[in-house]
Amino acid sequence: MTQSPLSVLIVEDEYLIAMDLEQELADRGFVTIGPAGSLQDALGLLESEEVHLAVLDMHLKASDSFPLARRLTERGVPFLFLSGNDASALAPDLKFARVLPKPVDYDVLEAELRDLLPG
Amino acid sequence: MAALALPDNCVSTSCSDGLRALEQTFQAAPIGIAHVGADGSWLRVNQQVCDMLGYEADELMALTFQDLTHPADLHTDVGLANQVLNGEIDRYRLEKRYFHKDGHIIWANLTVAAVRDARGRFVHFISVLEDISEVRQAHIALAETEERLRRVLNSVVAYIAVLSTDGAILLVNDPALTVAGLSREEVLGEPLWETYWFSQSEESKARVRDAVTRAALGERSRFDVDVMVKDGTTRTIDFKLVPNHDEAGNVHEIIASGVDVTERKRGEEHREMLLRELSHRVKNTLATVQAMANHTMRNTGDFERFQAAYKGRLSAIARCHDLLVATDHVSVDIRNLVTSQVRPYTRGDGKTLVLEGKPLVLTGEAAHAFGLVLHELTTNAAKYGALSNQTGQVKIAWDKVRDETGDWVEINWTEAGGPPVAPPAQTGFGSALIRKSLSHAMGGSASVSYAETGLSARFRLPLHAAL
Repeated sequence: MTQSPLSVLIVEDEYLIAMDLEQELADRGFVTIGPAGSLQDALGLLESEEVHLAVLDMHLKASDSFPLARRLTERGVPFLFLSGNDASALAPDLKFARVLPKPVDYDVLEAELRDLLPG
Repeated sequence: MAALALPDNCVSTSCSDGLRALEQTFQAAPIGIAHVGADGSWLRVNQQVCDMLGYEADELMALTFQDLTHPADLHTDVGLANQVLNGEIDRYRLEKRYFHKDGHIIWANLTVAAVRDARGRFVHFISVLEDISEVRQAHIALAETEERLRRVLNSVVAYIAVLSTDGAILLVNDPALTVAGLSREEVLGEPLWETYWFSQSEESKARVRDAVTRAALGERSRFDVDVMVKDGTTRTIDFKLVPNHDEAGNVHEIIASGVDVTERKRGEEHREMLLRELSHRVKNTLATVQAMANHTMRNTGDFERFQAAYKGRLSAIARCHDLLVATDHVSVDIRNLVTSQVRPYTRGDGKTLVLEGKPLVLTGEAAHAFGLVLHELTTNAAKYGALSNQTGQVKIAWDKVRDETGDWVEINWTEAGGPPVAPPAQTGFGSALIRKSLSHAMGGSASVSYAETGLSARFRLPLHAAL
């Protein structure tokens, strides 16, 4: 039985962290999309790529990533936040979202990502 | 006119008994009594008058009342006495000042009437003097106390009002009026919550009204509330209501006071914001350090090479951080940034590094990102390029440029005089960082060329990365 690999959209404005996430998730068998460093880039990728899951930094250079989180919610794409802030910094309508603190243990991140999927 | 009739059998003996009794009354009366002549001379005084003014009776006989009257009261007193003398009035009463023999002032309540003979001719004045110095003193002391309290009330930093039990303003201090540009007349008698101070929201009106109602029932309360001040902005006050009880234990008025805590509140909010910001930065820095370790690990085969590369990169992050802390955490002069990242790797003869450019200040984020790029360029030059021999030179030039794509800060890194250069066979973490990190989230770009004479690189950051 074969399973097509899961694709993860990575949104992170710190270049070093973004590259590291990309590498680690690729090593763990995910197809990575991005990393996007801005809200604009991320929204563009969401249109052009098939996204199964998403990892979002909460605060990007010019904005927060909440508009993207709302778009993902509308589309039924599961996501989690990776942030230096805790859940109290979330917009009220996004309180349901999972927030993992930085720096993250990649094994935990992988497990949390797989938990987001139904079944 | 009613008159007491003397009994018919009044003979000299009984009359003289009567006179003796009158004389005793005159002397023993617990109030000063004097007979005074038309010219104001003392004719007869009782002991009370002597005690009051400090003279012996015979000393007084040589003086007039004018001699002992305070100049400020003299005109009134003499004028009234003349009216009695002329029959214009029967009597007068006056609160006046005398000089005691030792010089101090005596306040007296003076009542004067005239004694006339059967034909109505003036005989002498009869003056009754009551010493009211103590009462006067108490009045003055009370007035002074009131004046002092008024000054205290108007000098404190607090806003203070006294309210009736239904919330009407009975008294208000100057600071409360001044801060809102109100006059006393505008607010006296108005319910506190209906005034300009609380006009900015129905919520605070209702809250104050409710608190006053509870204060009238004896309950104290204290809370922060926003008030309007004169330029239409609001300030936050620490507001307190205290019921004042009368002797029977009933609330008869309410003391309202407030202290401006706007700055304190702002300070608290600012501190919380800074703490959140700091925590966010620290976690991000840790994540960056973790990522840097992972990258370095993937690109170096053994622990010794990892240690050397990682130590260099960690110091590069630390140097960026030092510069940010040394300024205000939001900006870094590009000359300082370049110097701090590159100088540690130069020969120290002052000729290795050439810097060209007008003063230019980068934002903290741009400085952090570009600082790491500079570190990777520098370590590459130290290994293979212009910083690896005794003749090489690195020139770093920066300027603001404009073309059809927009406004940019352009930075050129040019190496010369090093060993001959060939493009690397494979690209590692360092060269990926040099080429991609500025475009990732900064909106910048990078291009690197490997001419045989030396590596050169051109970077562009959007102008908003500079201040």
